[in-house]
Formats: sequence, C-alpha cells, structure tokens
Amino acid sequence: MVEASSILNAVIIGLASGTIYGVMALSFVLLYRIARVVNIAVGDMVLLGAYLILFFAELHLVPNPVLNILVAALLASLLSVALALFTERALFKPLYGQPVLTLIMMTVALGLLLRGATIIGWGTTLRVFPNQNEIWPLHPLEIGPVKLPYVYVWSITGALLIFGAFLYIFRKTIFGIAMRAVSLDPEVAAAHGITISKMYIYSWIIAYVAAVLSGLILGAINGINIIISDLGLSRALPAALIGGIDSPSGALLGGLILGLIEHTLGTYLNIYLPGIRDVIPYLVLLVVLIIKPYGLFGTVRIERV
Amino acid sequence: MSGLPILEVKDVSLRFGGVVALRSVSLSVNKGEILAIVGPNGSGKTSLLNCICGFYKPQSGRIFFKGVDITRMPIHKRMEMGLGRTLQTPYVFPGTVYENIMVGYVVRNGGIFRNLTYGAVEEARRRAEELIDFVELEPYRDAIATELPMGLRKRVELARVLMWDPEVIMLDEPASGLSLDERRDMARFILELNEVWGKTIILIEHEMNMVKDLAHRIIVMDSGRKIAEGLFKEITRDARVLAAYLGE
Repeated sequence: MVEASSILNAVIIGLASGTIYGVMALSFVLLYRIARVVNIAVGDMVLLGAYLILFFAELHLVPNPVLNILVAALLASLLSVALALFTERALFKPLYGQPVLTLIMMTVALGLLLRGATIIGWGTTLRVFPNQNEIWPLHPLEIGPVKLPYVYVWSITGALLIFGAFLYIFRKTIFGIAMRAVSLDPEVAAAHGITISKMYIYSWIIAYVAAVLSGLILGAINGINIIISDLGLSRALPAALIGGIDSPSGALLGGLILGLIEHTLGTYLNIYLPGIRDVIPYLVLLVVLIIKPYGLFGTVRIERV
Repeated sequence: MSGLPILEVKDVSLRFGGVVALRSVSLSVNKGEILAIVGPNGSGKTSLLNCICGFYKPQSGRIFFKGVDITRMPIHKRMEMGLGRTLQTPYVFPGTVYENIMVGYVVRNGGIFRNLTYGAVEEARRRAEELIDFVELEPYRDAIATELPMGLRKRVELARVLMWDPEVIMLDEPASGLSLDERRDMARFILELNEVWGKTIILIEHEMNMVKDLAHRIIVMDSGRKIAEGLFKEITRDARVLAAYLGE
C-alpha cells in the first residue's frame, strides 16, 4: 500500500518537474506559433544549453558556486542569442515560404548539428556541474511531509520567472501584441506595419534562451550527457501538443500534467512494468489528441473545403 | 481640393507566369484627393494596390511616393513613410478590438525596448481610444475582433491603419459585404478622413453610388490596363468603359 505522504510527495515532485517540461514546451510552442516552425531540435538546444552552462561554470568566474552557476547560465543565454541570430538568418530565412516539411527537415538538420557539436566539444561521458552538491544540497528541502530536492526549487522558481515574464510580454506589451498579430498571417501583418523578420528573430531568441535555461535544470537532475537531447524532445513535444501546439499558457499546463502523470502513475506502474514511465508521456498525448485534436488550449482551425 | 502628386505609378507591369495582371499602368494621385479605381473583377485593381503597398514586386515600372522610389522597398518601410491600406477581407487576429488597433502603433515606433514598456502601451491605448471613437466602435472595444461581423472588422482595420497616421490610405472595397447602413457609415468615415483629416484616399469600389458620391476622380481598369480616367460623368460616357462593363 502506498502511503498518503509519499503520494503527496510524488504529486509535488511531478508538478515541479512539470514546470521545466513547460519551459521546454514554451520554446517549442513559440516557434510554431510565430514562425510556423515545428522545432524537432528543441531537445538538442536544451542539450547544448547544458553544455554551454557547464563550459562557463568550469571557468569559475565567480568563487561562490551558486553565483557561479547563475553567471554561467546568464553567459550561456547571451551566447544563445547569437546562436538564435545565426540559426534564423543563415538557416531559416532562406526557407520561409517553402512547404512546412522543408522547415521541419531543417530543424532535424539543426538538431543533428547541435548534437554533433556537443559530442565534438565535450564527448559523450556523463558530466556534472562543478560543485553541484554545494549548489543543490543532497539533503532535500523538507516542507511538512514533502521532501523536495533543491534542484526542483530552482526549477519552480525559474519556470515561474520565465513564464511570468513571457506572459507579461505576450499579453500586456505592444511587442507582445505585435507577436500575436504576426502569427496569423505574416504577409498581411506586414501590411499593417509589423516587421515579420524581426518577429521571427525574437521568437528564435526567446526559444533558444528558454531551451538553454532548461538545460541547467535537466543537467542538474540527470547529469549532462547526450541523453538530455532525447529527454528534452520527448517531454517538450507531448507537453506542447497536450496544451495545444500554439498556446504558451497551454505549454505550462501541458508540462504540469505530463510531470504529474509521469511521477505518480508512471512511477507506480513502473514497479510492475519497468520502462512504462518513459512511454507514459506519449500515452497521455494519445488520449488527449483523440479527445481534443487541437490540444487543451490550441486554436481550433476551421478550414473551408 | 487637389494639389501636387503625392504618389506616382509609372509604366508598372506585373505578370504571374503567363498571366499578365498589369500592363504598363501609369497614374498619379494628388495630395488631398479621393481617387477611385473601378473595373470588372480581375481587371487588376487589387494587384495595383498590392504593387503600391509592396505585396507584389512589379517586373517593370517604377512607383514613387513623396518623390522617393519605393518600387523595391520592403512593406514596413513604405508604411513608415506614410502609406496605409486595408484589405478586402479585413485582417484581424484573435485579440480584443483594442489590441487589434493598438498593434498599428509599431509602425512608427518599432523599437523593441520601447515596446516592452508600460509607457508605450499607455500611449498606444490613448491613440486607439480616439480612433475607436472615430470609427464608432465604443461598445465593442473589449470584444474579440475575430468574432465580430464583417462591417465592424472593416472599422477595426481602418482604425488600425489610422494608428500610424498615414498620408495616403488605400481602401480595398471598403463597402463590400456591408449593409446599407454600414455603407453609409463607411462613406461618412471616408469623407471625414478626407475633408477634416486631410488624408489622400485611393478607393477600390464596386458600389457605383459610393464612387459617384465620394470620388473626385475615377480611373477605370480592364484586363490589367487603365482604359479611362476622369470625372464620374466623363467616364460613364466613355465608349471603352461601357464596352468593358456591358460587353461589346
């Protein structure tokens, strides 16, 4: 029999890990919504992010390990802005107007490129962030009966900050309104004064930064290794689709649902059926898509026939 | 009423593969006038507007706006210079009427950091409020624009274009799909824009009564050519115009 407190613990940890799935899903959703790019490379962007943060952290620019990892995350984010510019200008700009499949193939290529780069740069052995145990103490944070590892505290805080900032921008600023306007019909939006190419660049930048920062959390939880790439994609994609592929707040919800089911039902069933935990996200996705083909918050498309 | 040419189209030709949409069309639009472009379906009216606003790049010919050659200029630059246009099917995105109008603010205030501030939203909101009054959308300001009927969407789009205060406004069939009352309202807005606000207006319209009442000058197009130009009573007597409309 499972104890009540351990169920509660699983629920909390599930939701906590769901926040990071949400951030990765946001990266995916945003690119689709603004630039109509189905980004299969999202996991590889997360992987690269983890390695970039590792790289900057190992320079030990600041003596305090916590500050050091934060500075490293900041530097990695800045570098990812440059990467976003390169990706958009060099790889995707020539392809706009091409069929969706062409863009998808380019993201597959981008993913392999990024993954290859990390193998060349850092090899395939499992790495951890320097002084990891000082940054995230082994002893979990205890709130009543709940034992929450510190890395999840970071995950929750980080995700709240990222989503808070993003939703504020998306809903409350002129910039956000312009981003929403462009997603419907880029060409026509341009006739209303919105510079599409700029909007595409910005969406790539936000998508990269969100993915890179997710790398910090996934790297801290699982260690830094090529496996992060698959883990990233296999969580971001279902989370995004569950929430509705073009809904940013749906991405967060999708992530939370996914994390919750994975850590409760998934963990429980895994005792009887080892390996089921990794399949669970896709089972959830299947059920959601059968009931609501556009996801929970997605835009329902009505097309003339 | 009319002054110097503000917009000039010189020998513009446009082809899509083997289909010729525009054959060496020339025209000039004077500052402060309402110029109507009429013609049967497929005569090239909308293609011409699309060349002027930048959706299409003509294969030959030049377009000058305020003396500057804009033929190859990106769309948003043209809007910044003071062009504006509405579409036959109005473009609204799933946000409130307010947001749909406010987005026009970015045309002349494109800076990303400025557009992340509260100040920018406030300024856009103030301006949008004035325009909502002008197009009489007060009861709908918080309605979702994509759920509004055609007549109101056209007003939303018009207000959005006015956000950047363009000197020349191109209206692509502003009265199509509108009820009689809505047409009268739209005609009133166009007249006020021209007479009170001093806007130059290029109007594409099928509704001949509206053209007769509003336009200072009319250009008739057929099969991608300009076939006549003049006052309403002049063009209605023109043999080529009658042929284009009634058949040989």
